[in-house]
Amino acid sequence: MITLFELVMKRALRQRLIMAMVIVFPILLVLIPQPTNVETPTLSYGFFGLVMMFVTFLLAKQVIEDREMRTIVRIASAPIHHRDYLVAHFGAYTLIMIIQVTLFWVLSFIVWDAPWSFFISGYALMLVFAITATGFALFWHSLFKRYTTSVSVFSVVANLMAVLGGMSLPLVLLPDHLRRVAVVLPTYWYAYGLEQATEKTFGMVILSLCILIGFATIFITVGSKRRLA
Amino acid sequence: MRALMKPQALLYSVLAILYIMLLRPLEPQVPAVFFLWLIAVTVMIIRLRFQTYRFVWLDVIAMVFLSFWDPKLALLSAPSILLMMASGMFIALPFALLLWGLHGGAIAMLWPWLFALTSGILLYVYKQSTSTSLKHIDTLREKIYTLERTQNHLLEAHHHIERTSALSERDRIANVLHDNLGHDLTGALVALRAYESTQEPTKDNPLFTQIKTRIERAVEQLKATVHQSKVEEPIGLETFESLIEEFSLVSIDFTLEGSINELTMTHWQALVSVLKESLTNIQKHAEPTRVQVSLHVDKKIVRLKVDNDGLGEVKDTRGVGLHYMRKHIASLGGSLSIQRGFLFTLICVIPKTITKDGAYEHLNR
Repeated sequence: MITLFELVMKRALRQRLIMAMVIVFPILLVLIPQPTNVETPTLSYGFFGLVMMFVTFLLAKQVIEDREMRTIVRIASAPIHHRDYLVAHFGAYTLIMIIQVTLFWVLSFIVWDAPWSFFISGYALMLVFAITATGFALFWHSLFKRYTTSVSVFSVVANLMAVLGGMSLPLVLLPDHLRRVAVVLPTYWYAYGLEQATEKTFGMVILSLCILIGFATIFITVGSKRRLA
Repeated sequence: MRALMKPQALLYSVLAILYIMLLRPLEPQVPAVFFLWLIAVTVMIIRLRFQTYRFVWLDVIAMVFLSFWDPKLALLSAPSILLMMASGMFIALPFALLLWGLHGGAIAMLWPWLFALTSGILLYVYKQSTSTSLKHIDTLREKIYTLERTQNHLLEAHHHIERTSALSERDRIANVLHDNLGHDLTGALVALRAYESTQEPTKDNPLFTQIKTRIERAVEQLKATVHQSKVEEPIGLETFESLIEEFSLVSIDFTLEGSINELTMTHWQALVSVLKESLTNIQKHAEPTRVQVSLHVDKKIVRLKVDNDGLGEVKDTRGVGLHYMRKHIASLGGSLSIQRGFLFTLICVIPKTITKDGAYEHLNR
């Protein structure tokens, strides 16, 4: 008997564009030339954070589509707990993201020459950020009724989050007053963690990881609320 | 009355504003401080998501301890204090004063506590007023629902009376046809046949043969009509007796006093309903060794009394079944009462003459 998890995986794998993004983007990002004054590929890792946000957003499209097509009502009337439905979706998306993160990490390990400590911290940060991004995508979709609205608002918000959070710009370039605002964004702490990994202050990297886990908990708690319409 | 904004949504908004406002004095660029702020927010969100406010004071106590490390962290307790006040836990007030004191009692730092306390109280009052309106709406809805149910019951009873009245009238007509017309016609046919056997020449008389054939056909048709009109199901006293016979728990002593001839179908329908409800309740709630049913008809009233020594129906004295019975009997100008003593007694009194508006006719005299 097909499980819910397998079904979600099948539906995700059927979306060719997203699967192409999962494979192509890590390869493209590895090919970006790094600034010569930095010994770690922080810029590519930062961009990869933005890619993760978009990929998880597109993956979690299934959830909002289920609501739009009224599939969720039929699921609700079936003997399936809403918790199982959420766990299956969250688990499937996280698994796809782990595969993508690992692919990017292996490629970056081959292409770039950086300290071991950066690669280990970077891998941990990417994995945790993948979970946070999945949680954020589920939370974001729970706010909207239609996918078209959700995607149009998200493209603006995600880019803003990326710029303010230091993903597409190094954090040192951010003015101080903007930095005060940016702390409420999970992207800031991902970029901050990468910065600290470069500077080898691992205590701060662990703190960033904890903060990202905290954000993931908030997003999952709020996003897990059952919505039928 | 529809609330402008749900109290819960208002609470979420105010809490979100407070948490964002707290970021300014807390200096969140320090990762450890931001981490604590985030933990406080996470705990609060989990509380709000699962609606468990009972142990919110634990957050405040945690902040008391944390404030010894950095007094500014005491500010993080303000949202918890707001939530306590909004949920009616006014013990939050001394906590707020204590934490403000630990913070150094600076006037400049008073605003989070003041904001938490005042908005908490306002939210509490708003929630109370909204819930009072909701309760009022609920009560009205319940009343409408009860009225609709009562109306349906009364309509059902009315239809039943109509049907049983028609049946009883049909039965009466069948009886009249059988006893009077049938008797005369059969007599005429017997006489004709006797005449035919004594008067030989009449056999060839076509007029005589036609009369005889017609009378024979009339007798056959009358028999068929009477047979078809005869009501199969029990009516009136028959229903009453069949209910008593069918009661399986114990055998019922039934006594009948007075003449039942003047009772209408309306009376019987009401009496049968009361007896049925009463016996069902005894079967459900009592364990009697003896059940007595007495029907007394006098000049002005008809009284039905059902006794049982198993003291049943206690749970159901305010139950739905008896409630509708009461309404029904009251609509006929009668009353239904219950006496609890050594025996459990249900007494139903209905006036013999039921006027259109259901009042006792004898009271008007």
